[in-house]
Amino acid sequence: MDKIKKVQGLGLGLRFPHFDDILNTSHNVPWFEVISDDFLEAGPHWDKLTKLRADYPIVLHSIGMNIGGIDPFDIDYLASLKNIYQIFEPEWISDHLCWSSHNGKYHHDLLPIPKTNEALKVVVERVNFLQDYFKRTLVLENVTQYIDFSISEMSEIEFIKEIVAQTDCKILLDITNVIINHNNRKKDYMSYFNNFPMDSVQQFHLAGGFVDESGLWIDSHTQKVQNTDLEVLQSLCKSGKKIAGIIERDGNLPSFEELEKERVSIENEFYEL
Amino acid sequence: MSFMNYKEMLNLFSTNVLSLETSNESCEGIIEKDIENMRIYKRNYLQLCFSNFSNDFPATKSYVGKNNFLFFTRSFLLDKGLGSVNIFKSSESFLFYLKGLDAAKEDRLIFELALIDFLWAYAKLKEIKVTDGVLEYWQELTSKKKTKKKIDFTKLVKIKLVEIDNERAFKLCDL
Ligand SMILES: [Fe+2]
Repeated sequence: MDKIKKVQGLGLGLRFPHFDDILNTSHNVPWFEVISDDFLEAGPHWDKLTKLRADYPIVLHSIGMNIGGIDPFDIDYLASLKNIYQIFEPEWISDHLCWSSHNGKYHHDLLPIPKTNEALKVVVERVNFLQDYFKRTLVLENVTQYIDFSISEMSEIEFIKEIVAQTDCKILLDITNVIINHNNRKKDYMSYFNNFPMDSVQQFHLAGGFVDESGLWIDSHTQKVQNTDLEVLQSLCKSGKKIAGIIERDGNLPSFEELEKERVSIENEFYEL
Repeated sequence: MSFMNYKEMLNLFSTNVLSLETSNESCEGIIEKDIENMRIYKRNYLQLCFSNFSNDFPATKSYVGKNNFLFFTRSFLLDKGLGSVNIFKSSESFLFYLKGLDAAKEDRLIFELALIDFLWAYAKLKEIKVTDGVLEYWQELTSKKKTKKKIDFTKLVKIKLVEIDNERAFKLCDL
């Protein structure tokens, strides 16, 4: 394995339908973010990931740690994650600042946390436990939130700053999620980015959503990245932030060639390494 | 200081989403505005499972039709829900849930097609017994190639999943 290559620049989220093209065609994707939950159990896809890992740096991004939940951690799940971290040696590991199961019932969704002192205490304890268990720094991603809680006691930025201060974790800044949250509330998103603790940001995400029949922006990962999101990326780069990131595309998946074209055009026009 | 504890809040939110009902009255005490957007979380929950089961059970979906398949998914979520962090494990629960449905008791092809779908998707079962002709019908539903073979409800066959030249294939075995 080439351990010298580091995660940097604009990469892509690995999706199964693209796997063979990624391995067998020539392209310039510098690194890949891989969904951990797709690789929990051994199978032929592990051989492909081993091949990919031999040529590219990767990070492993999971969706099921349930960091904001209060159910006991699923120890089998954590053990599977730990196992693949050891095998595939990601440069870092990440999950979401959300909850996804409660009372043993799984939503398989990224559900919002009310920003209360009690929730903060829960998250801090769980992040500290996980970092201790994995012996790694955890990178936490901000999520889209379609409702506002009346019980919140602080802003999302205050909440994130406190978590970082109390756990030393890092942040995966999903630029699109921030913009969607602000657009849906008709608020200015630039002040959010200006106040964000950028020193803690390890990685960013960009994705494309759509406006539903009620006028609500939906974080669907089914479209090309919007220009508004790219302008934010450009302004972050101009302010001297050289952060590595990826494009996330899940539904309405174009060919790998087409997605790589989008990546290259963003890299050329909006992203300064 | 909030007057509701975090656990109560999670109970209300989670129960409301999992109910898949249009009413959000139970969440009025915790949500400040845009409460109608709770529908997004309900839609996500149903959609995620529907697309997951659609991928794993293509022949079953094609046989019963999209609307019935959505109805089965919805009733599975309401009766059983998702009991594992690994979404793929839910397909196994869904398979056995289908078996118990009245519709499947009246029409054994529903469960038999689901059994073949599941074997093909996960290779988890060693071998299965199905009605003679159902495998060919499954192939017709998944590949759209017409079969001449008729289903013989008086006879059962045994099917195994094997690998030939690194490709998966079904093998008919003697009973
Ligand atoms: Fe994201």
